Amino acid sequence: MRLIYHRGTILVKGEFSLPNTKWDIRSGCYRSQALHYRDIVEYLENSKIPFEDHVMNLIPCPNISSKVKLRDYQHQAMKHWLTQKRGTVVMPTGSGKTVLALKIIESINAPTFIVVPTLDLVRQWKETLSKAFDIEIGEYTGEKKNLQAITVSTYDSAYINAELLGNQFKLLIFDEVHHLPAESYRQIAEMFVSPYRLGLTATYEREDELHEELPRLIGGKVYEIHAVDLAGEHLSEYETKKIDVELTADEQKQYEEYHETFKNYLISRHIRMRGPMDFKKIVMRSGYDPKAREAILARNKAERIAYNSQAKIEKIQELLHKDDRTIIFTRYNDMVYEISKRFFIPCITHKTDSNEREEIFNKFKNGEYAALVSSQVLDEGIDVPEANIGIIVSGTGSSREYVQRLGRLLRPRENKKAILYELVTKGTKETRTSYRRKK
Amino acid sequence: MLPRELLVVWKRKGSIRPRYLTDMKLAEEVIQIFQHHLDKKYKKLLLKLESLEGDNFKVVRGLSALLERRCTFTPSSKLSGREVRSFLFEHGFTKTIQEREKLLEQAAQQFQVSKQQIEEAMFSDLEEEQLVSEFKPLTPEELVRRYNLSLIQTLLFDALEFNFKVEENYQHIFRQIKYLGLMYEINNGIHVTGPASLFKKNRKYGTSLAKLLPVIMKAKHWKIHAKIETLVNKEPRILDFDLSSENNILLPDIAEPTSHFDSDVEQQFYNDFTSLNLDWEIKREPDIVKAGTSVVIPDFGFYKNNMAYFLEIVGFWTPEYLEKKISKLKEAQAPITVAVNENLNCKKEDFPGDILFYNNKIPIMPIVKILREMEEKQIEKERQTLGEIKITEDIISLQKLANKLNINPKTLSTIEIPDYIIIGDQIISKNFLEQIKEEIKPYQDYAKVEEILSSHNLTTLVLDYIGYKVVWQGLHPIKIIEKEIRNETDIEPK
Repeated sequence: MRLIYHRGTILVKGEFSLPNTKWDIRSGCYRSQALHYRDIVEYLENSKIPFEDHVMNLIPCPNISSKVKLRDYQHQAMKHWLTQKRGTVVMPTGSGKTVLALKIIESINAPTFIVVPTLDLVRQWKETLSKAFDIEIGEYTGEKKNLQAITVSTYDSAYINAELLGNQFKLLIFDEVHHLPAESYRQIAEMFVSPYRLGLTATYEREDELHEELPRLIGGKVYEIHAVDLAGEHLSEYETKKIDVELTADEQKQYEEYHETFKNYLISRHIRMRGPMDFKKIVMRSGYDPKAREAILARNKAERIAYNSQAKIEKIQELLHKDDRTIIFTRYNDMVYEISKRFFIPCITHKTDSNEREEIFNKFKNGEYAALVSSQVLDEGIDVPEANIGIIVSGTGSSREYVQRLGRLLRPRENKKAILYELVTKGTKETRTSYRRKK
Repeated sequence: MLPRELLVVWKRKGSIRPRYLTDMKLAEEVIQIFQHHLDKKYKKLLLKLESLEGDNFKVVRGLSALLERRCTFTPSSKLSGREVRSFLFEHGFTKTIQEREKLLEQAAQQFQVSKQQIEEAMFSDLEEEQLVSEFKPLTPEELVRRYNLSLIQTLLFDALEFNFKVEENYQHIFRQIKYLGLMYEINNGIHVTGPASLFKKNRKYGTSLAKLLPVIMKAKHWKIHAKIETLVNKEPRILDFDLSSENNILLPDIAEPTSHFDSDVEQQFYNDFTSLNLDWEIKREPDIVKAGTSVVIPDFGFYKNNMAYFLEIVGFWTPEYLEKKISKLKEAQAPITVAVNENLNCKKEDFPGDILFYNNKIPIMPIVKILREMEEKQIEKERQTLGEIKITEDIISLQKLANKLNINPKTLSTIEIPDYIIIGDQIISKNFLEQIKEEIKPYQDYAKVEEILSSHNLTTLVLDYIGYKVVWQGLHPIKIIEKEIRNETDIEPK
């Protein structure tokens, strides 16, 4: 028998039909998903069938070691994972998922591929890894393609190039693994042969139930700990304060006008808004109903007025203090630039190039900048230390996002409690969004 | 290719297709807006385009997306936005308006410009703030053509499988299939999928298929079929998408038939062969020949009367290449002759089937000989299997009858058909010729006789058979006279 890697699959050449393989008329041999590599090898070994294995093409790997120490619960998590060398660890944001991954890489001591959701996280992982291991860390993204024994990539780049990368790493790590079951991304796990797999997340469950795919793709949940179990111990306590701001008279008038347009459309088409799904329906209608598109545009404009109201700028002025470390979040890039221009606060959007982003983060960390404003790019797990004040000027109303944005702020600073302010416009639909999120 | 959300489609009864643009008006308007915004801020261009959007906003955005790729953008300020920002942020932040004014003043001094220029420069490197400094225009029709192609490619992003037929260009297409990491099967066209398609329907290869399309479209005639996964009433469905070069959709004119040759040797051979004016049609890379799980794409194909014969030229050589080629040729399910460069140091025994060696140029005569033999064999075979021929018409052309019987017309001329005679390329009943003879008897004038004959779809060739000969005056035939009667004419006159 001969096993050969071919673009995200394994060719099985030989007379035996093995579990999880299928006859491929195109190439005249059996074929299997790369995912089953470990099982196939185990099966062949157990059945004492001689075979030649040409699957792995590992990147040469230096010895990997670090001086990082684990906390008790991290140690527990690692012990559980090591029994199978597969599976997902569920830990709240800020509890040191990266450190756990680091220690696991060290114990496997073999080429490792790490998949994370955003370029910011790529940068952050690379920084942590190169500090801990003192070796060059690779990056495989839209911006850079540099493969090293330890390489960090995004879900998008990993998906696009999975068939080329799939046989070069022994350990496969997914950060924010709840993204993995998406129809496209799951193919990363299917096209990699990596026998060892680790998933990390703070929110295992998905609303669409697709997390049920995870055991097949990387192994089931092997360890779980919640924020409440850690609060006060390793995570700083925080407080949320909701602040109502009022629209100016002009804004109020405009808002009502746009909102009216939207409402009238709903009435004319007998649509009742009960949740985000109903809104999606209108978006779909806009494909053929010009009025629907008009209504959506009006609603967006109304929403923008509510989010971007002048009163919020004034409130921000009140909340800004030079001896705090403040991060301001807002949904619209326009608003980011407006705040940045008004207060001369560095800003980060998805358009900020990685070089400038890095500079801003570094200066924020070492205290040169006391505040920064950002649109959605800081979503999920980005590690921005030393911030004790968060101000949400707008949000999209997803509960997971809310949790993780909070998590980012849970860093103690000179024994100061972290505070998250939420600026909500009074008498608009936005209040409802915010209410829904808190549930 | 466009972002998925700009795709507009028709779905109907299990089939799907893009909503092709046929109207040039919108394209013209969008192009004009771009032209009018030369040296203006991108932001303004976007605003203007937005005003054009109605229920057709996806089309407007699709067209703009294509045009944006033809623009160059440059920052609107001479100052570096990044430097100005850094200066302001490092001295920030400014809580009050007074503080802000003060810092602005400071920056203006530092960069030696006005406060307003500082404000303008701050984000001047942002996309929206940049100037459209260059725009390569194109005609509305060309834009529409490219837009339609983009729509098709975008639709193919969600293709699960893909089928195509072409009549040329195989080499290029198969190279591209391999380059894109795709796989193929041959049954009723070429069925393209990816390695992992074996396990489940898979959209991962859609982007690669979209990239394959333009290469297929280079052929003069092409036909594609794809299975597209899409949501219908929120449920995933698989719909059919069909398109061919005969559909007359406005698409870019990228047809590029395989006219250019891989080498001078091929070019020379092609010219030599065509100058012989044989009734064999020669085509370059005309077809694919199945060979085990793979295919051979011969360099030349020769066609005549259901006969197909191929020539493969082996001009260069590496041991792996040769080994692969030979093993493929051994499995090839069609007659292929291999022309091997004699400098390659190969032996005749290395190759299966016919082989000929060449030095600088491929010898024509051995090929002609092979073709002739092939035809002779065909005729022989047809003669043996041909049953009794029944003809009801008075006159029928050889070709027509051969087509009807699905045989080589030359086969017909080698056999006897009772009561009929072959004259030129026609088969004519002997009785009918008798009638003709009676009909022209009263006339001698050549022109008149010719007129009568052609009214019966006959040529003056028959005159000889019914016992007349033409009298010439100089270069002009003027009249016919009866030949002297001999004992052994084809037709015995009464």
